[in-house]
Amino acid sequence: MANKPWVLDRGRRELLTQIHQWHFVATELTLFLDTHWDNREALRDYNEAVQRLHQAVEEYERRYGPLMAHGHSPSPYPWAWIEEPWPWQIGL
Amino acid sequence: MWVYVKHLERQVEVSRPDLQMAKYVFTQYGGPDGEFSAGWRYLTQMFAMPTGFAKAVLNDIGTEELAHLEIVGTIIHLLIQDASPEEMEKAGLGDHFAQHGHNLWFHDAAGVPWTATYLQSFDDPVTVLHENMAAEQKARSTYENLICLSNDKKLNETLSFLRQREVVHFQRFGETLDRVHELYNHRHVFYGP
Repeated sequence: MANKPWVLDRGRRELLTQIHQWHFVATELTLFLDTHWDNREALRDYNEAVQRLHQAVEEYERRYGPLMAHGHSPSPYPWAWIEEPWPWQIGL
Repeated sequence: MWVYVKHLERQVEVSRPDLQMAKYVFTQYGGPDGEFSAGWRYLTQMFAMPTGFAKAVLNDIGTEELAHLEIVGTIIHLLIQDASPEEMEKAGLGDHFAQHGHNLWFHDAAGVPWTATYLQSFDDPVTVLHENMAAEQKARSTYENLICLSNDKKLNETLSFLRQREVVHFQRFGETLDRVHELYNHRHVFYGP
């Protein structure tokens, strides 16, 4: 019962890496701003990261399918949310 | 409520199946200082936090811990998914295989099941923030021990990422504690400069 990890094509892998990166920046700055709410520099970086994240997510979903159920994109037919790979199946 | 995003917080790679490491990494899934404990500790304590920023810190760190639980689950899944029952048994995972096959379960490295008594919850933010700072340090130490036990570079990159997040969470909880003291106008000094 060999379970081979899904190997993503290069374009999809690169876009996913971009999403990981901007998502991480946004996560880190969210925690930082929770205790430094008046830090303008961090807030500016946060707003930029969120914008860049949304751009990357929008492109990814247009090309490869939804990252969130009832999230940013309408679903093509048939219901696309159930498509594999799920996150724990992906090999790079 | 929570929203699921269909990607990991960070991509997980392992170089090869490794049942011995899987057995050890289980403790960060369902052990006392693992991600399940951490996530639900904070997401339960948050209800009694006294102010907006403290509620946010508990909520946001608790939420990130659930993403870490998914990462740890992915590590174990990748390490054990193709193992035979004999290989599981040889690595000390025969008991796990008997009860759960190749799937995950909440127990520590020695197979001890998760229990709610690992956690505490009070309505005193000073008390719970101290518990949380300790929890982050215990998790950091555990990840360091796991890294010492592993010679898989790819696995260690993920374990190092998770270790680093414990350091950041500790820092944020410490800042929260300082600000809660300011809020209550406490004059206690618990540690030097």
